[in-house]
Amino acid sequence: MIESRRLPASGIILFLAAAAAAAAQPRTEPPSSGLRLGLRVDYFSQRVGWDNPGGESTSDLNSVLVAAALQFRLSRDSSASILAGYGSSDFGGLMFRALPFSIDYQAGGVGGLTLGGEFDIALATSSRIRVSAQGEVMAFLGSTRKWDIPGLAVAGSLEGKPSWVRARVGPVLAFGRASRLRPYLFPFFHYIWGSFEMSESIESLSGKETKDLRGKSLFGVAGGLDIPLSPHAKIRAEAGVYPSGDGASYSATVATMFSF
Amino acid sequence: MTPHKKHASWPVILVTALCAAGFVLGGQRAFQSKAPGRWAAPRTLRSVDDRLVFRARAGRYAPRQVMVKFKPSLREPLLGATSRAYGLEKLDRIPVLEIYKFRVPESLTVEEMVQALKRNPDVEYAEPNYIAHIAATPNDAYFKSQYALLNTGQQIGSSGPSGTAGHDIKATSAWDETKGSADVTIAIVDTGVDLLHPDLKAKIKSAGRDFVNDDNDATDDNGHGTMVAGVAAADTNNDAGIAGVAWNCRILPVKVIDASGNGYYDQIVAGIRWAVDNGASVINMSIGGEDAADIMRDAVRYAHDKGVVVSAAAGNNGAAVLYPAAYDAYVLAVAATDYSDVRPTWSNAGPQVDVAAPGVRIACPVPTWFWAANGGSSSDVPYAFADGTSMSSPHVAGLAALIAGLKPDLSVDSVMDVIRYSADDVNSSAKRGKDDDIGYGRINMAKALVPIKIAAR
Repeated sequence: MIESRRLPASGIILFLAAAAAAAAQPRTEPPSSGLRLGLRVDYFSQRVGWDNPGGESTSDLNSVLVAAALQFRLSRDSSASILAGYGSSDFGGLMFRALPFSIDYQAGGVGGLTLGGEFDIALATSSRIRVSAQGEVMAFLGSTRKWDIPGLAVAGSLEGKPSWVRARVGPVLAFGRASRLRPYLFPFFHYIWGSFEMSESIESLSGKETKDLRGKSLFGVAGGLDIPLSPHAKIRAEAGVYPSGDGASYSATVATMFSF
Repeated sequence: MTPHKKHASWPVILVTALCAAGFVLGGQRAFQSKAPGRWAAPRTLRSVDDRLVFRARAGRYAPRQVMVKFKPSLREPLLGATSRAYGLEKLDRIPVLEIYKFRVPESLTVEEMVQALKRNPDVEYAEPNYIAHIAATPNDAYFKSQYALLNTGQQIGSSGPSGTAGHDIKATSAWDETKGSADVTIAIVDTGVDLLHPDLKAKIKSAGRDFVNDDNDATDDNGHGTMVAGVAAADTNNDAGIAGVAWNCRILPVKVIDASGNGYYDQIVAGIRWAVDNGASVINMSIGGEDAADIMRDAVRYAHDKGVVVSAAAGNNGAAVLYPAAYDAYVLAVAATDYSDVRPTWSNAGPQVDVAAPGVRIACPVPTWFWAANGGSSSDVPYAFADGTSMSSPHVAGLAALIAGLKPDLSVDSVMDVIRYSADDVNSSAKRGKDDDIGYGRINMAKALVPIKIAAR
């Protein structure tokens, strides 16, 4: 499912690039207000664990999120944002063993609403380096998806509804001046938790099972680049890695922000 | 307690055939119940003598191998460079399908390499080189004759018919998911059980209770209960005898039928109550009577309300479903099918029939004294072929026990529904959907137990 969503994701990235190019026309006037509007695309693959009879099982939670961001300037160098958009999360590999008929979930992504918030508070600033504290919370509220249960003597159906919350916080070390390419390093503490509720209904037979998910890594590091296109526009590109006991997970973000 | 405690004559058993060559040469012996209101007697009984080979199980996938399909856009030499970047050594390529087999470097596990490859956008899919195998196959000597569990179209016994491949209850696939729990007990409310039978003694929870003779020794003096117990939960994978449906579940003998094959309802009711209160999760009742009785209904309702699944034989006289099988809300009524999924005409029918299970030429244990007491010798192996819904019901009881062990939180009604809805409608060409002959169909253990894969549309 994630694969099938690459095309629209690529389209969004192209749109962002075109928008950024348009915004990159020479301008000299400073921002006229403290509001900024932006669009961001996030992809992440996160190792998650969940309880299963016989012990904990793990699988990869893969998500693609597209969200609009509204940023408020809190002070000259600090800001807060709210995010809202749409995303798809693939919980491939979940097993529901407590339902009357056991289910192995391999049905790909489930779409849903994405809501979140972000803050960036400057702690120290010089001409060469900026140190800030950054935090982010993203919530995915999946829509209910239905499947038919094949092969039984009577008709039956399943309903699945996922949700998760992802939070990360840490210091950001940005190098260089804000008016130029600014690379940054973001070591962070992060956590993801959520659930997938699956209901089974087959004539008089029904059951419900909820899988609680927990992230398998607590710390990660991201590296990124802020690319100012004009006084009113910038693009951010970021890649992150999340080491865990059984490998590493990854994330990538592309965002653009326009000020008014 | 002795194994021959109540060893009795067989007034209601009609020996219809006795092979002069003797039991081990495949001779046929048969007996029948002549009247209702007692154990749902096997219609025929024949000796068994085939043996089979043990098949060992291998691992899940080949060590240090991954199978990879790249996206069509990736061609040589990029393909080779990509695989080398992962440290993969090409072992083989399946032409046309363009699937590559690689050796994984020792520094990584197969799982790690698969995960790494899956993250590569040029990889369409990557997975271990899985190993297929014949599903869990026990090494019991007469398993080959148990077409009910795995029907390969084999000849059933040395002189028996051949079945139709695939017309079975899919036991071997289901056993990959579960072989049962020792915490789950199947009460055999019947003529008792041979407590010293080599294929049963390790599975018997206690000497049980005898409501015919009012003591705590449910030794079988008839043979019927021993056969039924073996079908449900014989000692399995022990290089001998037959395989039971529920490998690891325990047997609780409850004797409510006397040596002649008759039992009063009050004894049966007391037996059900005792089984429920002594740890049974499932009760098999390969017995039945033509008369409805409130005391019988209350007994099976008591079991149901206490979370105990009751499986009962529909009966073998081609008439209406017997009681207690006919108590639809509380009991799974089980009809019979044969080695080609055809319902024998003698299998009782009615709206109360929930499911069917194989009941023709079923390999089962008989008491160790059985053949010597019935024209054979004490050296004859204590196994036989039997017919009847008596043999069908313990297949269902075994399946109920496996479900109860795998999903202990399921209600008794849910367990019953899983068994019903997972059945194969094997007579759908004539009677589509639930019908009076075989209910929802012949049980399918794999559908009931193996997880259903919900894949992307």
